[in-house]
Amino acid sequence: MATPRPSSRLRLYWLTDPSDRGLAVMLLTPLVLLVGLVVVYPVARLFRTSLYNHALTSGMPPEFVGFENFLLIAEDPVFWRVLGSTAIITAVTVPGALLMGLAMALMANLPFRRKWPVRLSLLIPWALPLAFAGLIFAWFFHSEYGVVNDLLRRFGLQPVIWFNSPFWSMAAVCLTIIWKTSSFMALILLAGLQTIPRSLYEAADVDGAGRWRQFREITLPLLRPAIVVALIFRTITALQTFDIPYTMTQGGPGDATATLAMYIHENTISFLDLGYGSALAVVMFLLSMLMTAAYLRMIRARG
Amino acid sequence: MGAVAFRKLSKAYGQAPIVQAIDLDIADGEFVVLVGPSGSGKSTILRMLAGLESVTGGEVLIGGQVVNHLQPRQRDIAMVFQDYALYPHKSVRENLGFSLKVRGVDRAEAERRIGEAAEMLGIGHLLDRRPAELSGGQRQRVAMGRAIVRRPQVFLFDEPLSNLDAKLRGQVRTEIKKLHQMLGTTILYVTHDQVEAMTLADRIVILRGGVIEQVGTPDQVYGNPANVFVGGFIGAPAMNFLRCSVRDGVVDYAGQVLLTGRDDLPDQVLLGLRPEHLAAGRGQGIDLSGVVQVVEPLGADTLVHVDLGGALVTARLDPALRPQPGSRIDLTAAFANIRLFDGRTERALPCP
Repeated sequence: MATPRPSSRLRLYWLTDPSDRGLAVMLLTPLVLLVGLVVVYPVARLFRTSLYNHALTSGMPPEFVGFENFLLIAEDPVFWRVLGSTAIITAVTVPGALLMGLAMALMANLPFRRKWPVRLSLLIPWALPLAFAGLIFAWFFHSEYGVVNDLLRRFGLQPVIWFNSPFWSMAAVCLTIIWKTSSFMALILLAGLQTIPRSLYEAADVDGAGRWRQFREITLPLLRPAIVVALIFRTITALQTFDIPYTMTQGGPGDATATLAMYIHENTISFLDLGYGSALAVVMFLLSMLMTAAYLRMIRARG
Repeated sequence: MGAVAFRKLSKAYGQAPIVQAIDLDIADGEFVVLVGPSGSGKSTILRMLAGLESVTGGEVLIGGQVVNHLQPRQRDIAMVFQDYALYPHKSVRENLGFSLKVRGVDRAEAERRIGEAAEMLGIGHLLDRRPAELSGGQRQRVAMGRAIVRRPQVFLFDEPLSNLDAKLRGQVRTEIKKLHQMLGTTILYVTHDQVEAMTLADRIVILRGGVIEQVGTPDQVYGNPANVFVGGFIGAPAMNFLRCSVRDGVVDYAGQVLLTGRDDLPDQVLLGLRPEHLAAGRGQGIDLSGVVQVVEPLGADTLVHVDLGGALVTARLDPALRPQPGSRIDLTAAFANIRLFDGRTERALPCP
């Protein structure tokens, strides 16, 4: 075998050692092909289409226009409104789902005699299709027949006509998203909680720390990696929010609850404007990348 | 102050008894080791004393007070865990100081005590490191330091050396003993290792199946085991046992008469002999003869496994002898070193 190499050169090892190069290429090829086919190619196509004027309704062949689509986006008032709604949904449902998920994970981590009913009930919202959740909750928030208004009436409060007001529509959408997404957060956080050894809590018990102190000084710091992972997932899916507002409010009233993803869908599928739709999708892609990079930087800075 | 007592202390999980009505008094400043095989309930007893495990029946007393209903933090004890349970995200200094911070000890006093404990354990240079950056032995010391800074009434050790390699184990064992001599605090120490029990304890409590088999000083439990289990458990290599029949006061092993004039014995006895009490030759008391099977030189002495025709005994002999495997050997033991146990109940009988 080859003599030991300094670790800095290890990464190029397979390129420089002729005896292993063939094997390395053979092992990597299927994966590279697969990733290329399902990830790189579609994304590249998206970027390319975003540089064309390509509206299927015009009957004209695609025409290269450079960054014109992006300039149009910058001046599009609807884009800024749906971006604002998406930002609100992200800003409300990401922390909301994190807190809900954390509460659920802490509950599921309690020493129940039978763990499976708790875990199962944790999973049900996650297993439900998004569109289905949207339809159920649209019914819950119905002004005449919905359980929410029924409860409000029973407690002697004014019922709310949820889907007539931009504010209450947004509130209903956010509540539904939080309900739907906190179970996945809970799942990730529960896995994180289970990696914390019980003896740490016992040591803290003996050391004199109460429950709240143990939560702050042991659970939270040791859960941080899981929290960051959960936040990354939730933020990306929040930026891409589509199904729930689409089925609940269809973006209404007006476009008060329309999201960026719904706007992309409208332009591409309803208006068949592939160029503009692709350019919007590129913007969403870049936003997701940006948020992920920010989180990763956050872990690296503190870890 | 730091006296500990158990009164009919019991623990059961559902129907399964883990600890069965243990009575024990531990004096202030005493170093007591609970030793026994796994499942003997030793750790459960320690955890009940710490308050980490609920008590099914009986009482736990610390300093004369019943503490059954008290939280671990209210019991004025400190514990060293088997896996050390150091807080991984805190520095050594923060690990040592956590209990003081929680209890509102002022910073200057806390710093002083952390420094003192670190000094005592030789970990002063590690205070700003995280546990992940320490070796096993260093982590063990931090875990002890965390207990020391508290100045509790009682120290609890739950198999603290089992994650260390053999050499380090011996070293830290000595340090724990030194620490006890320095601080004079009551220590309850759980281990499955009888060597740790023998070397550390003022008194050893030998447990099996949730029941105390014997309590005594190391000399007592080694010299006069209360039953066959204790004789076999304490001491390595273990005590040898020969199953003998007794008729008309004559104790007989496989046709060889070993003792006479013992009218007080049941008809079946087990004769116990420590390996070091067997010598090559004849005529010191009882005589045995067998074939050498395996020879294990240890340097200072040599362990010789001898087949007596059915029973295998181990003798600790002078290394100069160099017996050959397969050869016959005569062994002899003084009457004073013979221990007798009832062949059925396995309890110790009066010795010759």
